[in-house]
Amino acid sequence: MIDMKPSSMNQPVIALREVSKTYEKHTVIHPTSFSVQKGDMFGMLGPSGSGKTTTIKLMIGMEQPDTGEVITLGTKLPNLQVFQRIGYMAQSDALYHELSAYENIDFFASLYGLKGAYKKERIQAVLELVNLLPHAKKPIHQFSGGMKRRLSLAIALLHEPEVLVLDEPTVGIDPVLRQSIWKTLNELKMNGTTIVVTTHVMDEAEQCERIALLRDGRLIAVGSPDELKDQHQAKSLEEVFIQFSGGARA
Amino acid sequence: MRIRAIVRRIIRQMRRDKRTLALIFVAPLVVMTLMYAVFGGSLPEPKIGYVAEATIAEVVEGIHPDWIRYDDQNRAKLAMEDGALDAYLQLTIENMKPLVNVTLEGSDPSMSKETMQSIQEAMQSMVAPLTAKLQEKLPPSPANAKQAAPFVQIAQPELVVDTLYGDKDMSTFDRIGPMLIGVFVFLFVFMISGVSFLRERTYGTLDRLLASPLRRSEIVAGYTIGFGFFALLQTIIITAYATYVLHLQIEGSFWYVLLIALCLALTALSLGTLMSAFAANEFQMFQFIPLIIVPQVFFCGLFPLEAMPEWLQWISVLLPLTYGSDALIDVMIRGKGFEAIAPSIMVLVLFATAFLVLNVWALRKYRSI
Repeated sequence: MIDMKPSSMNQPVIALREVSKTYEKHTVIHPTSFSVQKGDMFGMLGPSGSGKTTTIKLMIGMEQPDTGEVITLGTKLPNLQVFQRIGYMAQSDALYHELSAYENIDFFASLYGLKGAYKKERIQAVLELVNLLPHAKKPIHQFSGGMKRRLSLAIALLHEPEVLVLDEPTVGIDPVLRQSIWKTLNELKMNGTTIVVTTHVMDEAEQCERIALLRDGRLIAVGSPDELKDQHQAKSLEEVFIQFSGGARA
Repeated sequence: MRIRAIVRRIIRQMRRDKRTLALIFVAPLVVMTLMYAVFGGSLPEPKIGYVAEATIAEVVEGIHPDWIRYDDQNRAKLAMEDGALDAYLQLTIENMKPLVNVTLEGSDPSMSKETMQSIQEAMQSMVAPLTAKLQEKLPPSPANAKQAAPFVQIAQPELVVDTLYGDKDMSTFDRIGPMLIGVFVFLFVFMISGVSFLRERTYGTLDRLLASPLRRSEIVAGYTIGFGFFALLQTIIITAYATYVLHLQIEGSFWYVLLIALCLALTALSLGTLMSAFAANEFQMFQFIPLIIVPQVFFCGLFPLEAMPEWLQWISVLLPLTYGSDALIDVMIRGKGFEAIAPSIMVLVLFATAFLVLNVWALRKYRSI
């Protein structure tokens, strides 16, 4: 099932080179290098506070690294035009509670420059994709947590981005819904979208082609789930993770 | 256009938030009406007592049957201490000149003013009947009659009073009205824009906006126009209500009043969003009221600046509301035109521009480009 390593003609979609980030003397990301290839489903696994969100923000240019550089879609970040080609779903549902689902999505569509018939068509398409079409008129404050997550995902997909960056897309979501979200993600991947997703759920990480393990702001391993398990003679990713943590806590 | 998307979104959001809408549109009107009722409406008829000899008392009785006559000053004073009187007078006549010693209750300036006005009017109308009265009381003496034709000549009454201030024909509300308009526009626009922008940060939507190709300046522009729209509406409503419903006097042009208020609103708007960067939650936003709003209210002219130490007066130079209320007073009370308010308008525009630029700069904290 493992795709062979992308051929050399493929430029990495996202490349971090010796990137580090410090907030008020506290180093959140220690110098880190890795890259995400085109069409990858790239997972970032780590406990909360390990620096996943910061890494993601560095990858799309919302944060600027203190050292090193980030090249995304062939452009050195930060760069405003690159945002146009990235779909981002934040960890918290960034929605306007007073507005309906449709009004929220319409607002973000305009931000990404969608217009007229195409805008309407895209809004319909993504709402349908996340099964929210019947609830489009409802104000967000009547939405359940799962509905909000799905709407956030729909917003990230609006402008048909080449790269989709999702920060904990399934946190606090029931298993059925989680499965349907992953099904959607796999479909997008089939259509050539590069996906970066953070999670702290091991079985979600298993579904990725390549994963990066993060701990305390350090990248401890990158590879496919099977590679990582083979290298460390572990049965599960969880075991790999525990090995890196020194296993002392077991 | 992306700025338009933000503007439209803000207007939609505000329309849904009925309470906030009520706060910005209705609350100022309620407070203004209260102020009007307290400072501008017709005050109750002042209760006045007097001490005078029978002849004068008869005349006073004729003009003001509601005034109460006391036998001596002490009794009148006691009555005042009980709250039964707003003032008492001692009326005497010396060398054909009525002498009036007024003692005001004096705890409420507007009531004191009303009382003095009533007394002065009464004294004016007293001259004629008092002259007639004294004339008829005087024993007819041919010798005297030859000396002067208008035999008794009563001079204008002389009032002796401790403290008295203000123009008599203007209500307190007329005087503070312009400043109230300035204060309300500033306060409400500051709070609403500050809290809304704060929410944008705490709900994570600002982060989300910054993950889109929006420029920082577009965000600030969108906010300014979106809330500027509500600030404009609010300004029109407050000014129109004060003018047409509460009959606040406006000597100059209504449009200049609007222009000044709008400039103030823009300053408050940009300052509110800027200050929200320094607040972690709504509660901390409200903590800016004593810090930023109250000093401006103190310095805008509601209280006489001349009484303050000079170094303190200099602070007022740094506060936007000072310029706004100066200009409003110029137009509304002094009836001045554009040349008079232009410098103040300029300063307000500069303030707003500076705050807006700082806003764009403050967003660097969230995204460097």
